[in-house]
Amino acid sequence: MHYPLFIKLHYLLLIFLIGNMANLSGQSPKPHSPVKPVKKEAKHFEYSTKIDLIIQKDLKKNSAKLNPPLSDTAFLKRIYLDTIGRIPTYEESLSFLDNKSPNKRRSLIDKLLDSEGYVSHQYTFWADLLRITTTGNINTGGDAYYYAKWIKEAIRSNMPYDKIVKSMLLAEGYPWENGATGYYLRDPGMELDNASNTIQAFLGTQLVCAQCHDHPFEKWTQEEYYGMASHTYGVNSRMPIKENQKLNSTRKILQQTTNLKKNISLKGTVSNFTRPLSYGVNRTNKKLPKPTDYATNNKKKKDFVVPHTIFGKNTHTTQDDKDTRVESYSRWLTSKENPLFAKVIANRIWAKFFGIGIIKEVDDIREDTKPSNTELLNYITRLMKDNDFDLKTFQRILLNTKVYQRKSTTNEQDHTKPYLFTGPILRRMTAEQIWDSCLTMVVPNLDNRQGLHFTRAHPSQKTLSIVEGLPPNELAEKFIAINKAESKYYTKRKYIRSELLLLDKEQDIEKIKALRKQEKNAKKEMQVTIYGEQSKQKYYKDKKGEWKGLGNNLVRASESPSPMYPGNFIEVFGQSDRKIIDNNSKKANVNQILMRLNGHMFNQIIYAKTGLGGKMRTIQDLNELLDTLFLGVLVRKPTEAERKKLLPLLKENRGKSQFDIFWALLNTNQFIFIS
Amino acid sequence: MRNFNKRDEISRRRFISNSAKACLGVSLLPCLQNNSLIAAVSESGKQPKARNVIHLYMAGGMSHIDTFDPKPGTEAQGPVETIKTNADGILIGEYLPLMSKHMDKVAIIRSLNSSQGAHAQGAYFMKTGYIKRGTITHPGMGSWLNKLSGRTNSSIPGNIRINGGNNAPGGAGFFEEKFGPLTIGNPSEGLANSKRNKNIPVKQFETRLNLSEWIDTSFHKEYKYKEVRAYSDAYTEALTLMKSEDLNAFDITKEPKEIKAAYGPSKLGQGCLLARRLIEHDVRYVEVNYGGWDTHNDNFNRIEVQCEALDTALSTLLLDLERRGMLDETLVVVSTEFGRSPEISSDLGRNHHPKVFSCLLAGGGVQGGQVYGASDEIGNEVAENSVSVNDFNATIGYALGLPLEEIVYSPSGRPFTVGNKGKPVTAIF
Repeated sequence: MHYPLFIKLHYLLLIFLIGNMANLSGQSPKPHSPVKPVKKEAKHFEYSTKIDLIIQKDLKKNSAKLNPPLSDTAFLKRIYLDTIGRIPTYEESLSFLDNKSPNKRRSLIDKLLDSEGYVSHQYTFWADLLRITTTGNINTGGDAYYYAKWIKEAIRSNMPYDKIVKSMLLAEGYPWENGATGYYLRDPGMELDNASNTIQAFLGTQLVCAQCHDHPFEKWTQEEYYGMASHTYGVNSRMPIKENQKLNSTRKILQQTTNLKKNISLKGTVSNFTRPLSYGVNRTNKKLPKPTDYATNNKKKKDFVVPHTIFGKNTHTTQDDKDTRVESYSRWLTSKENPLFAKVIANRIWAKFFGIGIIKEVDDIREDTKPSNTELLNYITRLMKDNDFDLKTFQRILLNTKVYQRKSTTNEQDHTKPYLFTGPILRRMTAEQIWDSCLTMVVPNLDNRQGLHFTRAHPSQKTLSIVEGLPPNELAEKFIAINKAESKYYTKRKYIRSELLLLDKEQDIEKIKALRKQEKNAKKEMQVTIYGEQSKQKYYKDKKGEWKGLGNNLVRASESPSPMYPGNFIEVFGQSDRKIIDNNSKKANVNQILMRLNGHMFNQIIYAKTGLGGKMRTIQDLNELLDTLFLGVLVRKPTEAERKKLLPLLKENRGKSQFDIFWALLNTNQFIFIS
Repeated sequence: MRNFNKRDEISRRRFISNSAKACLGVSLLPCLQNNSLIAAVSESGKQPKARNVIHLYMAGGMSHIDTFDPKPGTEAQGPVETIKTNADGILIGEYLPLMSKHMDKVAIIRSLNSSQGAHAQGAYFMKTGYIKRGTITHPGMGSWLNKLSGRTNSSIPGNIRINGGNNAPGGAGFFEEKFGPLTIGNPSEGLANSKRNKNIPVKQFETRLNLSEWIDTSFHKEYKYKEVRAYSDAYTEALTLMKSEDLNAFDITKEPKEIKAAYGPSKLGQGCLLARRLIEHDVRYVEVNYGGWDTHNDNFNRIEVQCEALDTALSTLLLDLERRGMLDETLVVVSTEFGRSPEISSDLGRNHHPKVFSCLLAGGGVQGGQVYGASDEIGNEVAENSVSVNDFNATIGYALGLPLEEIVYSPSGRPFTVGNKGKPVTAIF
């Protein structure tokens, strides 16, 4: 996807979004199923202790020791960000800090793992791994509306990791029937790329080079890669729409009445309306020939690859059966006996919490790769298997270790040496965490606010209801009517646009406005003809008042379309472009700073009447005011020195200084780092 | 009147920088310290003189056959006609009528080839000269230029990306973030958030900034990470930029209407105009991205639309640079990740084709009106003078006088060079 096109598509999507709100007409979004709670077993803590022992042993050997313990406030910030992906609200912080129970950390971890925020945060992890793209065109792997919903539901129900992967590899049918089909729909017509991504995402091994030639640095040959890829090569991301009888009869009628084959415009209408029926996953008997690489340019495609795996037990399958080759592959890949499957996900989650993996390169594991602590990696891999790929339990175990609950290492790591896990390393928040943390200060009950993007029905449902609801003869007539309405609109639009080109942006404001309005009305007219009266635009509006006045875009990153367009807050802070696995960035750039200094977001936060800004206005006591701001933004109390310097400012001119301090806190570097 | 002063200011600055170059020779450049200086003199005996770069990146894979490497009389050509140009014997596609009058300024390289057939990997390769790996991120040419040769204008960044995201390939890579590009999402809107909020007086703004920095003191003391330092650097950079008198370089609304119109309404055209303004203000490297070239279906209609934007923008840019006397020191690059197949698919499309494709170089000492290398009779494979993506990157580095052999180490201790040991195509200078 390329940016200008991407922006265009994004814009089209917005138009769709605005144009397709009919089915919401003021209803509140549907509540989703409850979050499945984490198993609360005492033995988990024994596992945590075992991890600590393994690390202590390693540290002792290297005459190192754990970092100092983590204060309650630092723990609070870290645990919220690592489990639910945002900082705590002021109230959430208070309730934890005021809690005197000795087990309050454990309880908080469980509470967070069981909350809706967990789903939101985990979604980003998956979306980056699977390159889920909800913006863009389904034709190029975008518009993963059903896929995104499916992943969220899988997280919500704590579906075991092996089952998630298996469900995706085995998915068939239309996306609205089975959201997991999104896995193949992500790479339409690119079966080989999809296979490389499967191997990288779940087995931490990069075979992408061997797609075109023998791997330059590894032992894998192109033929071996082809052997792997041949398992899923027959899985097609397009449906056999030409076999759809109803559409064929409709076409036949249209051919007789209007000479469809010569009528390009009508042909376009028909294919637009039936297009959603062509996107789905369909297993075929297509076989992968032996490589015809760029170098040899061998065009004879007579020899076919024999499916085989590059490590572990072989699948012993052939390309002849469209089902068994996929099934045996998915079994092999997700098996506990697969030497990498459990290890890779265990290491990925470890890396997520500690800022660095036990194997540093979480998805570029090679034969000569040495983990920084082999015993540790083996142990957490075993934990992953023994707990049947229950990711929530696995996270519960890691988060309850002593080593996790230590201060971040203060000195930069030496890249040439293995990292000794004296604690996590300092991490910058992800783009999503920064966005979500900002919203935490403004939007009440943030985790339960759903995005319009996902609460609306998918645009294709409307066209499909027309196609599916009418018998062939009526459908044929409907297509003709739709085509007329469309042509009328496009003619009008073309005229309006050519007029607009002649006008001056500054001098002819009124004329431009009038023309734009004409265009809008023409569009409305067309839509009424096609979909009937109820296509009138209506937005879901929060009438209860909880989110009154807060823009529809102020929802968590997981509820927004993604990836965001260039220049958007989340994009600027380094959201993955979702083109490549885990392509997010945590690097500084000048655009981010300009956004923090002068952008809309921080002003919105400090001058808001809701959230932290609203709270600030109600506080009388200046000491308390200072505590509130520090706790609300940095998740810590002010130091004595800070109090001494800032209190006089508030005393002197509270009206001005409270905003200055609020703004200053948001612009600190510590706000966006997890220490 | 102000404009004249402004112009003077710029000219003066350029004069100083040029005379510094002249007086000090290139002896301050690291390339003198090794043999690469010898390599830095082209076959024609001329030394490359590019100082800055405008890189137009055609994302998606620009069809070479339909643009700068037509194959008239073959099946591969499809319905696009060819036209003659003002360069003897050079034919191009009919959808580039304006460019046909400027081919005397352009060298076409028709023998480029890449090993990467997917978009993300291909773009990464083209912009960095390295194959994408999971273990390191490589810097783009703009970052190399700023790292090795420094910036000319200290108040605005020396590396700017137009119509592109912050996370696109060709950023700072393993260099410090300050060498990476400042990005501009929409050229017509200029640099987002570059102006202080009107309701906040300067004094209050400074109070806030000082507070912020002061609150961070102990954090900065405790965590001596380069990631944290990069943020402090970025704050300094952003504040300098906000105060810079060159900030209006980002504002193309300052241009006369006719000029804006001449570049065309596309984001490429407006991006090129912005690029010219930025180069005028001594930005070293400007990348302008323009997508839509991934013509798997309906190639011939879509290529017409795509070419219209490119034709208008590029021809105007070359003319504008020439008239302002900037073409000699500005290297204009037109590149893409790969070409498109000679076979025409049933959807009237062309598929990815990394085996051979075309890119352009103009200005910056490049001899115009020539073709380097050739594809075979249908544009399927390289026929002569193969130019790899590394060679192409090395050629840009060479034009800029960068030390191609100087080894730069990443923080993890791995060795890298500009253009990844490619051989520069010196024959075109």
